[in-house]
Amino acid sequence: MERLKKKRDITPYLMVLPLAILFFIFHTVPFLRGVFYSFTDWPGYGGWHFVGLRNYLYMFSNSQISQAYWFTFKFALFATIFVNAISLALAVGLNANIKYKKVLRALYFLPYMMGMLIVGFIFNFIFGTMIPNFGKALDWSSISTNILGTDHAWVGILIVTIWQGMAFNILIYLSGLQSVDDEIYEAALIDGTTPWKRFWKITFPLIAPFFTINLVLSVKGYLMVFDQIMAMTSGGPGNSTTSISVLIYTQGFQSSQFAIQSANAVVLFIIVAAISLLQLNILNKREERLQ
Amino acid sequence: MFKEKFKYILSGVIGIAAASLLLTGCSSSSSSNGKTTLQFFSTKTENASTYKKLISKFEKQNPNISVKLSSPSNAGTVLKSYLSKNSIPDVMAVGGDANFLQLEKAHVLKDLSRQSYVSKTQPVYRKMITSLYSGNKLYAVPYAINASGVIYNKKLFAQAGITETPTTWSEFINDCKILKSKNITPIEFTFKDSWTTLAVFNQLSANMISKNWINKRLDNKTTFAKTHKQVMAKYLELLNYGQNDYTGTSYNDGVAAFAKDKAAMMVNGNFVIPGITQLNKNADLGMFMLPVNEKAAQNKVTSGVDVALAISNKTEHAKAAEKFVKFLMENGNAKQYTKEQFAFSAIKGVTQNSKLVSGISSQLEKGQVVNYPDHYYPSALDLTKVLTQTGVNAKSGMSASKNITQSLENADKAFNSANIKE
Repeated sequence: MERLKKKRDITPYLMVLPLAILFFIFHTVPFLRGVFYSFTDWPGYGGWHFVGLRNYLYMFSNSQISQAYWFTFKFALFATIFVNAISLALAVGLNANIKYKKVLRALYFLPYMMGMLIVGFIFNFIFGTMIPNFGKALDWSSISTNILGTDHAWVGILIVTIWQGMAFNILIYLSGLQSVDDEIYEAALIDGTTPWKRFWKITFPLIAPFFTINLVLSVKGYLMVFDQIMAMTSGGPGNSTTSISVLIYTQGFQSSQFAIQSANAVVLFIIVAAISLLQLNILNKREERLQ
Repeated sequence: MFKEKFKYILSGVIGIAAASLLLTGCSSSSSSNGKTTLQFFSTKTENASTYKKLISKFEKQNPNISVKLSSPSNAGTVLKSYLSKNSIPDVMAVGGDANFLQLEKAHVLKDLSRQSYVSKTQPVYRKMITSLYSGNKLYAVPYAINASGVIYNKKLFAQAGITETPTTWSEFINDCKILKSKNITPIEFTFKDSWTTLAVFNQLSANMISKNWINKRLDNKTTFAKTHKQVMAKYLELLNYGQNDYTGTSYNDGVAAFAKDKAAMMVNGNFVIPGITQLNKNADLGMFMLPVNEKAAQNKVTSGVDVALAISNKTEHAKAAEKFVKFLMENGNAKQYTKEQFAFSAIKGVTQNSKLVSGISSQLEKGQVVNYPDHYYPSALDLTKVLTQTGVNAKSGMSASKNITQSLENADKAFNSANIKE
């Protein structure tokens, strides 16, 4: 009896340990090193000195960095709203009693299976060649140029992000919708409710936890947007699509501002963590109220 | 009993983790069974095929040395990781640019100024290397040279009735106007790939701004706004003669369009030509220098060191490394490189005979050249961002005067944030 109890105590630790060690070595240690270097003037190689908070102060005075923050927040806001609104609507549709349900679900999930870089290159072709050719054929000057080469380049990136981001969110919403018991709807039908009312009064409260997860994951993901921008515009034209992560990468690794961009990364981490915690807090309270 | 087992497992896991950390720390060039292995690093990917041929020739001559070439596509970042690990390859082929300067600043390169092959090279190009830092040591010997200019389609020029290539700015603009009036797109720009903006801007500023300007700018004694108005004005003037979607065209698409006779000129460098001839073998091409000034004699070809060879001062195989560099510098081998890579050579007497570039090769042989201004900019300065924005502004209808002021202000801002004294 004694031995059995002990055994039960130790197994979970054994299961967690390998990953915990790997996580510590490859994630926590580099992260702490990054925090450390953000207080130095290390250019990425050679020697360094402590400079205190100079890198953080520099960040606030640099217009390129503030521009990147402005763009990233704008992008994250629009992407989160559109991705969640559209994928919730699509999930409700895909959950309804329609023909070819399984095929459609698989189709909508397809973008998630493709790597972001490949998606980026495909859309590079669509924006750069297909749409302009279409525009020229119809003589519509507004779409006969590559949107990625204009002031509206960020809209192009937003479209691609929504297209790809939806797949995963639909999946989560669908699993939420499937957990709702049909009997509740039957009861509501007998009471003579409208579909709109049924959605807001029954479906939405019941899938609120899934909404919370999606929202938190979306905001976190889009604040750290990187691959699609690198694949499509590399942050251009000008700095118009340079997100915080893109800036950290280009300036930190290619331009030897490692220490300054480490500070930038620390600030980004704090912002993402704070927003995520805030969201969880507010949305959890909302969930409790709804239930 | 279980605790014992647990301890074993734990120590095993930690041991493996520690070992993997150690192993990543000490991978470097090594020699085994009497054979020396040289690490040869190249910052360019496109010339790897020529290097491979030269290496196998070298290995045949020196059976006890084997050379391992690595030419990753993101060479700058890889070099930086070498530096941060404090281990660098034995021999390096770098450009005369910020990447090279980083190596020089890290003090990892050997002085080559007393090597026999150095005197064979053209002094202009040695100067381009030494002027990047203080002191008169030569940390890399210039090998291959590239040249900027205008690549033009002879067929379209003939169609428009232009018989001679322009030698002054007004002649050049006039030719653009003639082409445009004949419904031929004068210039194909490819600003979606932002580096191509600098290929244009460099040629303008190299011919209009004095060489010491950069030193004053680094000391904050002058600004872009004060000195570069004319340069930016000419840059904007050129954009008037670009194709419709010049900010949305990628380099590959632009080259393809040019190869299909869709535009008469491209303002870039000699390295564009192989890409065009690959797509269209019958392309009737020529090259002339961008005539930036009104006095023809003042105009120079913007040309820089494309490849310079450097040796690590920490290498364990100094003799083999020197032998390899000396081998590459031999006239026959340099000639092979020049021919295959469509480049020019820094070595006196090794000429590029292709007809396609005969329009600029005479200036290069005379040494009528000026270096790329951006080679002297701080490595963190990315002027291409500013210049693509200028293009977007122009396309969305901003007035030239406002665009010039705003772009130069942005250039100064970018310069200031990059110009941090170490």
